[in-house]
Amino acid sequence: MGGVYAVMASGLSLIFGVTRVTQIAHTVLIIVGCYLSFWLAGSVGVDPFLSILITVPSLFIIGALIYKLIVSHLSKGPPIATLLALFGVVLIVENMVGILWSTDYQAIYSIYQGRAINIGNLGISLPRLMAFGVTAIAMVLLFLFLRYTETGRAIRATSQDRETAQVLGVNVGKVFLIVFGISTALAGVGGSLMGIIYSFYPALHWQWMGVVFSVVVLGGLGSIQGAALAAIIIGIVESLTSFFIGTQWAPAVAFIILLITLMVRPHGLLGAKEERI
Amino acid sequence: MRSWSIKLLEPKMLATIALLVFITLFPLVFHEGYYLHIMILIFIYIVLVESWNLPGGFAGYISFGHVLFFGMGGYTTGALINLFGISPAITFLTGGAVAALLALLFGGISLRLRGSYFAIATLALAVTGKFVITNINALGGAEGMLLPMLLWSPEFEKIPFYYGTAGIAAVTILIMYKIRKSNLGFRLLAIREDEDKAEAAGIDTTKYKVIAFIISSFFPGIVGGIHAYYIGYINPASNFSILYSANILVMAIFGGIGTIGGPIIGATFFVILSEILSYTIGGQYRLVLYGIILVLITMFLPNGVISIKERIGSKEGRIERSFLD
Repeated sequence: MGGVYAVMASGLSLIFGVTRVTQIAHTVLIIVGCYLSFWLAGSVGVDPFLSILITVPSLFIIGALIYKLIVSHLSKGPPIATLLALFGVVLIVENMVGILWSTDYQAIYSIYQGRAINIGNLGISLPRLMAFGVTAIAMVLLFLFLRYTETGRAIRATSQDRETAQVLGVNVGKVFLIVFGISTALAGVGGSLMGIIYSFYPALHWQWMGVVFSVVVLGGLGSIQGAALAAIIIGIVESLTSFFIGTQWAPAVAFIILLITLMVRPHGLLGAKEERI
Repeated sequence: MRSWSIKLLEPKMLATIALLVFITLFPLVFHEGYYLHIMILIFIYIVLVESWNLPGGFAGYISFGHVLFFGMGGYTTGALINLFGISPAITFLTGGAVAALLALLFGGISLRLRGSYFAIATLALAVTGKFVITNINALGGAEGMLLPMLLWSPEFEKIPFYYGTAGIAAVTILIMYKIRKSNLGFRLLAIREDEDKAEAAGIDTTKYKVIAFIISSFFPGIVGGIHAYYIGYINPASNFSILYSANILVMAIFGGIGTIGGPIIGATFFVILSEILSYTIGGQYRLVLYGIILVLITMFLPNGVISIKERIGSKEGRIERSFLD
């Protein structure tokens, strides 16, 4: 579970790390990933895991458009203006999804459903195992991209020092656009995987917002390694909570961890300490 | 010094008096329940948006979780009436006090966070609050609770709620107006403009932010209770609905953040608009439209509708700088 959280949250962390924008519409775009896979699997008959190959470029475009049409115009103003506009995006997207696919619970049916691989006494559900594999691939690709490509270097430079990067000839606007695209594409991966594992409905993203933001804040804002670590911690705490205390409390776990982190260690586990938020 | 009689003749004063007379006499003319219902909703939202505006507009601390105080007010009233049989008037005030206490506890911790992180913390708190209430069986769990109805004839049953909410709205507006002109108001504005400088200038920023947050939670707590008693039913899904937070934001931004008049304009406009829209297009299309309005206003009219007058050029020549500039 933690693996999927890592993909869901790494995009958010990347956006914050590079652009300093708090992308509250991130989780509602994960929902779009869910429904896109649901639609592709149900109406077109695409294998849900293969549908990721379509959700990724689609969500990349949506992310880039959100940046181009809205965020880039507000970048000169205070962060709050961007936050409010993105709240508007949340309302638009959530309800558009509801109009297109109704607000009922939906689930993606696939041939992997209910299958499990047994290792000794331990049964691991096949879809979850495959989801973990996909998240691992996505995270490694993200890492390699940031590490070894020209664009990746430009992104890292911008995240470290925007002004200097600009002086050195990095097109910051283009970097931001790509970062929004990649992050939203990661949201698409997370969405497709969540849709394969769980049933979903449009307003579910409020719950995920708790998960994703607690992962990002716990991991340290802008730190992708931190996000991966935090995602696993939160995944485990959630499982333990639903096992020992009761499943109905599991969704509250993330929010409580988020509140505690913000109080005790607002820079997170691996975040830069001097960062004042 | 001008005397009262001259002051009374000022256009602003005349308009206020005319409005007060209109609101007082309204139920005599439009006694159909439907019109009164709309007015009650407008008053409730005026209270919510004006209170949100205190930390949100004056100090620049945007809360996404203001519904928490509204919901807590509703549940305090519900619990006290149903479980302990306490008279509503007391429960409303208790609801306000519970909300204020919550704001004190939460504000002390969360107001150290700035900007976006404060906003997300408030959202987290509101969602957590909803979960907690949903999982308390004594409060009806996810099903919620029925509240006893006011035993008046159906023809008049809305009248007390009408004047009650109107009164609270008037008090809220007055208090916000007073705060705006007070030292507290100026300190909050200083925090909004530049918190580090405000702190350097010797303002105990945390203290004033917490005070603002407490005041801004008290009134939603009260109207939350009144609303619960008025509707006669509470459940976590509707009383803690994120929709309230969304509505508050849209109304405040549409009207004009950080002003006294803005929230009144925003609340009135959107309650009426949402009534018209719920007849013509569905609730979901309405929210899509709200989202679009929110995006467009922040992009093109960051100071809200109330700033249009100033843009054209007012005689007063006093242009308020909004933090969205």
